[in-house]
Amino acid sequence: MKAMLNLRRQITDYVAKIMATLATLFGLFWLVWILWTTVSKGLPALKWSLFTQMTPPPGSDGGLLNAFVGSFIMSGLAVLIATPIGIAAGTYLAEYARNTRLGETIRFVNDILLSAPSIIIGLFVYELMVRQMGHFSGIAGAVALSFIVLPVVVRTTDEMLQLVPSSMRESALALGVPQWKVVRQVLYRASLAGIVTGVLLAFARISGETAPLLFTALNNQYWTTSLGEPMANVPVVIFQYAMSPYEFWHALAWAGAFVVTMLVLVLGLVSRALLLRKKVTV
Amino acid sequence: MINDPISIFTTVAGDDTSSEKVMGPAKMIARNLNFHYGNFQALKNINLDLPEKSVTALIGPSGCGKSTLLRIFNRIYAIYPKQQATGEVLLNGENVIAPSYSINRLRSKIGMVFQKPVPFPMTIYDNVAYAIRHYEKLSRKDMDSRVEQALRDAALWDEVKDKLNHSALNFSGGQQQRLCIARAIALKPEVLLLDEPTSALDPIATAKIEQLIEDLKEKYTVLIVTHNMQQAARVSDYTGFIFQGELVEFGNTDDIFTNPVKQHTSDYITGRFG
Amino acid sequence: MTKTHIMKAFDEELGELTTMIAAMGNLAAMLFAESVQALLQSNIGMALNVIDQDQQVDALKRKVTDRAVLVITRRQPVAGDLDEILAGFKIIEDLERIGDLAKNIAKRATVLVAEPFPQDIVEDVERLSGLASAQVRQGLDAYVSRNAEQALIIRQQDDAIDKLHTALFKKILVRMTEDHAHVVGFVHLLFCAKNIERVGDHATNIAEAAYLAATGVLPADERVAHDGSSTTSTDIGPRDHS
Repeated sequence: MKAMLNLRRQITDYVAKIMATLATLFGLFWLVWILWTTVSKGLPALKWSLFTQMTPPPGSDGGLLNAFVGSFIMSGLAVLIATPIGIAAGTYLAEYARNTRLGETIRFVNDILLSAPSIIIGLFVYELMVRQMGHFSGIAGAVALSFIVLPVVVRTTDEMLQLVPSSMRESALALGVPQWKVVRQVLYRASLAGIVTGVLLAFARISGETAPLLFTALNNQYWTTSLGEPMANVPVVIFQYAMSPYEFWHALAWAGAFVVTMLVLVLGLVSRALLLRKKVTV
Repeated sequence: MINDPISIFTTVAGDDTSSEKVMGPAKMIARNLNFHYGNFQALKNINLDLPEKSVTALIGPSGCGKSTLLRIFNRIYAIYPKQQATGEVLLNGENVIAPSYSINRLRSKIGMVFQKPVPFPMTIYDNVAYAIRHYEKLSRKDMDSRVEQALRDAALWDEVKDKLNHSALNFSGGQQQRLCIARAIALKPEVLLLDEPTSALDPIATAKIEQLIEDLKEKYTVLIVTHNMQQAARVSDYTGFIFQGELVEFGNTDDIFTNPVKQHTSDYITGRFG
Repeated sequence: MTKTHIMKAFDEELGELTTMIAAMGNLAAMLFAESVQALLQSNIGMALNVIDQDQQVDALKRKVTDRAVLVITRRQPVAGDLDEILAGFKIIEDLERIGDLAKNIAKRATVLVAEPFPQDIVEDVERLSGLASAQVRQGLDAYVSRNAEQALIIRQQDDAIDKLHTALFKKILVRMTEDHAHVVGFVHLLFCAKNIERVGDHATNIAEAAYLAATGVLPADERVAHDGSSTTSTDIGPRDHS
């Protein structure tokens, strides 16, 4: 009887193990396929002129310099806008509104923002800024992206601060140091690696966002660093060039996709390294 | 050998047995102290004198309220909502739990060390200097000597004097806990609260902390909460036994552990309940 | 103990215990020597003093006990530290008994003031008590200095006391059969001799405790007793039961 039961357990265990492994392989399969396609088509298209020439007019060859710069400016600005606000909000949630109804509500709303479809954010900023200004602009793109960065930073700051042992908080407060100083001088230090990781991941996420930019920054075939004008950016360029009938535009799109993918990969690795180092020391 | 065999007894053991020694003047006094977590009364009418420059231990089963009592003395409980203390805790005659007594002032006079060593994520030097900077503007030289003195008093100087700029996180648990003690005494407090300071440490690190506590009572009034009765017997001069929020018995450690008055105390220290 | 405890107070307390026990031993040994002196020199004042002072030994024992109990309570000694304290407990028992024996001799001395003892017996008693005294003092030294070798030597030296006591016992028995006028005195003297021999036995116990304190174990081999007094007769041929 006992042996039978044992055998049944073993079989169940075995079946569950196989199913779980297959599911994992299924997910990995598509990821590897996507990566493989990006690498096999993007790598051959990679050339130096990609980073030195502007996006070409229809029918001719060129590079993606203005798109890279545009993307960099808008993503960077989005991070600059959203990080201070996000850290402040996350600090409020973790340090001042912990276990309060208001805090829980804000946390819930933030989680909804975190999973909001990015096209909705694009449309929102379109209504908010593009319609008011009367034209697409880099600044509108940056604002749209900052709406994606914001909830990520709020969430990571909140979580990282909550991970700091309460005894560290108590030890610092027990020295008579006021709370705002404790947060700034002790708790941020203790959770710095985690917060930076959150910001990096948010940066990685927006570097590939297309939808919010379609409605805000749109695109620009020429070089510009002016935030008041429409601004070129890699995701939208990829979208447009991939849809085009020209062979070398396709190649440019693949090359752009490859560069963005690699950037995301590197950012992911860096943030992992940061988090690992944190685990060792704290 | 000794010529006058009797005299040695008066020199090493005193004329009377140690259990009859008198308590020193009280540094801190709790009067009719009650404590509530929301609707739950955690401490009931506590009256306790902490004799100056001596070590007082609080023992009792988990949840008896001993840590709660310790945490009232520097009002660290006040950082959580719904916790309330009523009654008086007198330090040099002033009621420190009265709202009019500044928390800042209170905490500079009463240092606290916690169960787990939690060095701040900074260098050894900055850990010790951190709180001093909050209270005083010192020249680099004065700060150096303050930090050194605190580390010496915490019996840590010899181990870290060449590593003052290293991160405090890279040291052993025992060293980290002595750093936490140094951090607390750097403010030159009058009273030192220790909340189970060795429960996360190995026996050797524990023995070092215990020796340190013995040394600390030269300068400070020490109150230690411990779930380890043997530790209370080893380090303290006075012991209070707390059970279900009440101070059941308080007296000389020697008496409590050899001839407890209350049956409850006897049952607890002999391991017959709880 | 060459290495010190991290907790310095523990070392101090162990040291104090040893010092207190040594002082108690000194007093007991002194009373014993004085009791024999009082007996042999018919010094009634000295005898009374010994009887009075024995209370001091008992009082010291209580103090040492209290102190040792406190050390156990506070330090929870284990291994070598525990052996040291247990040895201390054993030694103070023996010292108390030595005090009692000295008191007993002193009491008999007050009764024997008028008794003249033959010179050879006086010399034997002196020799016996000298040996026993030396044993006690050496035993205490071995304990204080934690000297295991010395402790073992002391233990072996008890044979000499036993042999001397057996001889003395026989000598007194012979005198008793010859000198019926002084039988009472000789009976007391027999007891005194036995007391002195028992002080020697306690010295042996002290040496064994000293060995325990130094090494953590009791001496392994059983000692062979050489005290033949319990099987001694006057040995003048088979007894005449007529």
